[in-house]
Amino acid sequence: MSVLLDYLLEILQGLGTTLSLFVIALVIGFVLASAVAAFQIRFPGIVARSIWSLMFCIRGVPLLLILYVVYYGFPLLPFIRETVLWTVFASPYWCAIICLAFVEMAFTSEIIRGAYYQTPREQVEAARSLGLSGFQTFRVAILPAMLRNGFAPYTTEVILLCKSTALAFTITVMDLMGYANEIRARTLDIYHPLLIAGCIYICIVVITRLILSTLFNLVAVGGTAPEDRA
Amino acid sequence: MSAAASIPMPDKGPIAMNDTSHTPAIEIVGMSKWFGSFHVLEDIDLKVKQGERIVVCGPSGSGKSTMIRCINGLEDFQRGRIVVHGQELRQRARALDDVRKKVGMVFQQFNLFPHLTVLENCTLAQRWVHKVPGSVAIDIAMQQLEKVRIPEQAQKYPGQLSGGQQQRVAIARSLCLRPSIMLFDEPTSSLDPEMVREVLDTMADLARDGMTIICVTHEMGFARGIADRIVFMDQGRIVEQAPPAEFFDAPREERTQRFLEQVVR
Repeated sequence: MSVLLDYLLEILQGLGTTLSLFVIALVIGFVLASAVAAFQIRFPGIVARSIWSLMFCIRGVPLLLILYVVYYGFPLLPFIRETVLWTVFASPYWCAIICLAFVEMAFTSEIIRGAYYQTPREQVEAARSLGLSGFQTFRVAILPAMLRNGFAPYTTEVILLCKSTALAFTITVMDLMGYANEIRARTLDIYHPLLIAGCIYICIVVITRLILSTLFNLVAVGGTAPEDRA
Repeated sequence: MSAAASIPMPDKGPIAMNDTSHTPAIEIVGMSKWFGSFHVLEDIDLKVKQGERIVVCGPSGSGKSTMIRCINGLEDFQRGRIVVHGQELRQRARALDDVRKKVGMVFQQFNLFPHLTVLENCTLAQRWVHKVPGSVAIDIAMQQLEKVRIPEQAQKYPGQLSGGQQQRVAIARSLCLRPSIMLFDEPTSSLDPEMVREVLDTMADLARDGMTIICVTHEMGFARGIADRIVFMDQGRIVEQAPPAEFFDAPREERTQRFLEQVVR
């Protein structure tokens, strides 16, 4: 039993790294995704289609591959190795964050776009007929509808991101997975360290869900839940 | 209701503009609109006096809704012109904003903001567009909610109300902006039968107060009781317009007669 406790304490050394990878990539990814989605919505046609194709490619490539390209490939490029960019890309931790944020941007921008285009046209018309400006219409009619429509897919996406952070250990980042894997290699005890790490990930996911739904209830919907309405 | 024609009509409504009482409220001249290659509205001419109550009827797809949606710029049109209180739409960019401040609109689907309470729905545009201070906006909203007889629902959310109640809130929400013209786009078409009455009564109250009204509806009893003039449309054209007595009892056009045989028993 005390062995398990030792394992747990050792693995928990990676908790801070996992959480910071997760939260920083989430925030950067969301900001970039909002910009990308706004750009696509604002400039339909060739601009939107090119951006969409680029995002499609990012979504279509395994995260592990992107991690390897950035971590092993970028140091070969002189303009990265010999400039200020090297301070970022020399760190496996920041490589991982950049890759995670990049992929998060590609998925989240599509969720944001989808939520935007699901906004009922009637809500927008009601706002415009009351004389509201474009921005006011966005605030009262479009944004709440986007929150209602995008909440469920975005929650799923956030949870996937949380678990994707575990890939960072493949480029030497010592997160929860990194420590669990080290114990496994050292002791040849396979189940215990990995299952303990698994439990910690589940806890993080449960707490993340709680935080998201609390935030959603705070900002989006008063009265009855959206699915109660015809 | 049939006594509506004898209701004394003030020549100026309480909220009509005092210096423009001689100009028509709405003037549509030679307006045409296409959806792609489909000619939805063909050469529409319509003049509405201040305080006049117009009911627009006709088969579905005849362009009735599209026509009134053009009046406050929810739909664009390609030819002709629309002048609202002397203000020509499309003449300058701000004209549409000015027109929307004078023209209220009520939709078939109510279109209340579901995440705001009834009261917030009614105060929002007052505060954001007309810059009315919060407490004044609430007073005005409560007055209008009393007028549509649901002040007790002020703190509820639209999802907690019946369809008829939601539609009355939507009417109150428009009235809070003191429009001089109200457009109704099939306001009772998505209501349960027993809720139609309460909404029609609310609209009749408005008519009695001298509001300029254009209403698209299939409620022929309402049209007969309230309208000064009935406009009948088919296939994007105005086929016939006449006062209700003449329209129902002695329609001139053959198309109108066929329509009336279908809807009035």
